[in-house]
Amino acid sequence: MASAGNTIKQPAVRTARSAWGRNLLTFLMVFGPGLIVMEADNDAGAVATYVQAGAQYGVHLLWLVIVLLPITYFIQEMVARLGIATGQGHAALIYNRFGKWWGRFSLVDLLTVNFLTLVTEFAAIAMVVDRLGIPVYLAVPLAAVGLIAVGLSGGYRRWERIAIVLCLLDCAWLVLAVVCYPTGAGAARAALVPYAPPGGITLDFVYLAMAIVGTTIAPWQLFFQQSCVADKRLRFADLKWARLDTFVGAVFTIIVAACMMLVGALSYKHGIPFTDPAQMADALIPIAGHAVRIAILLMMVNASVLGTMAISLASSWAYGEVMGWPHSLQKKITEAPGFYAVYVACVAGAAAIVLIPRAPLQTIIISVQVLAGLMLPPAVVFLQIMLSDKQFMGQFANTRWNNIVNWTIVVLLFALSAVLTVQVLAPELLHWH
Amino acid sequence: MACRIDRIDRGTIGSQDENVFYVIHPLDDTEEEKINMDQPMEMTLGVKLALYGLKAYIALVIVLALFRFLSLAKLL
Repeated sequence: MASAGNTIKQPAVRTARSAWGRNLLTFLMVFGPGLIVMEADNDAGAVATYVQAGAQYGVHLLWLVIVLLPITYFIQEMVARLGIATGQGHAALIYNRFGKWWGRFSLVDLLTVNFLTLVTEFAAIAMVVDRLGIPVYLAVPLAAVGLIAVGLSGGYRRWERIAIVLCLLDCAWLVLAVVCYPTGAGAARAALVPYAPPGGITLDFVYLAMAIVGTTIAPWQLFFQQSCVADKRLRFADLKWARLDTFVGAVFTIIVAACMMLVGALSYKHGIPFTDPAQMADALIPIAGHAVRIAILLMMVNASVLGTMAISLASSWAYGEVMGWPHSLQKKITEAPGFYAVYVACVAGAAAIVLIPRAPLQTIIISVQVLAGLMLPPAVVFLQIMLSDKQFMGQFANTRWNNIVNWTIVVLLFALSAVLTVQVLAPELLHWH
Repeated sequence: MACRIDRIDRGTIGSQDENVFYVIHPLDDTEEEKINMDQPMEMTLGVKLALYGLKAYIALVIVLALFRFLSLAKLL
């Protein structure tokens, strides 16, 4: 409150002339973390998985993407709620509530799987630029420098705006889907009514279905959104808008994922063998034209860039939280040197590995799958346990129906992670090869 | 959200119009006091069982990884 001689700075205040206008303005201010966490999960690995699903099975796995919508929403809603209630990130809470052992296990596993995932993102960038005729040794370092610059751009709001723009660029997948699969009725039917592909339900089909689930829910998302919500300092009253933000993000991401599958379905329709999305883009030139090829390749780069931005920040936030360092995008480099150092190290290190000739990328991809399978069950179980603690969480605690739904999801994810991990590490145990 | 409006003197903002709603970005608003979660979790039976289950799962994955490593090294 100002008075004569008092120079207290007033906060930046916007005005609205109606309650509806106030709500819209508030939502737009809160909007961001939910969309970014969801859409950033449509990264290079997700593009490869969804496009592969379309290329190998047409639209027969579209229904699965729709089924995943409520699961991803419920998980991330819990994350947003916990972040708003506590103002802390997931890594810090695990460390404080469950002890040093679990805190360090979660941190080390998260940092490792995140770093390896970053390597796969840069590997995808390298693969695409190579097909575009751009020297990899020029493009990958430039991408790394650009990503570092975005992270150090000064302020949470600037970073968030850039990320949102990149998320919205993924609308190009909708255009690609319309071009590649114009018969919307067939796609809609497949999305709502599951039916087996020609040849029946094979083990490969089941494995790909599980890979889709594993792709759609990634452990880094739990850590990222909670830290993002905390860094953005969302308030208790912002919870309903954060939920809407998360829901909008979930819907948008699922739609984009479905579109990726439809693009791959063009390959299935014409019997084109699939190796990777970039190869598929080249193979589709006679059918869809050069513009579609270029668009697919550029969207792959966008997916990788967006994924890198989010995943590297998730690591920086988590590390800073556990170490007790200042860890906010609102702070300058000199105020949070450790936080930014982790970010730079993650991005630069991942880019450097990709530039190594004959880097073991396949081993890295498998390691990501195993470590993610190791990381996800504890992260969601901790989330559920903390939100079930009515004594601490009060109004933010899970309701009874929350717990029923969420524990069901936790058990399903646990089982899925276990099966996926066994499938990767010991396929002979499940007679899968 | 106008949740902090009660801490702001409307007079200092300038408008006394009752039809005006004030909205402040979370980053511009004063920080609110959050729930303190710095205390360790109470180890109820349910929590203990969940943590033991997680440890068993991690141990299983490590065993499988070792099994895979030894298989690839042709030691098994």
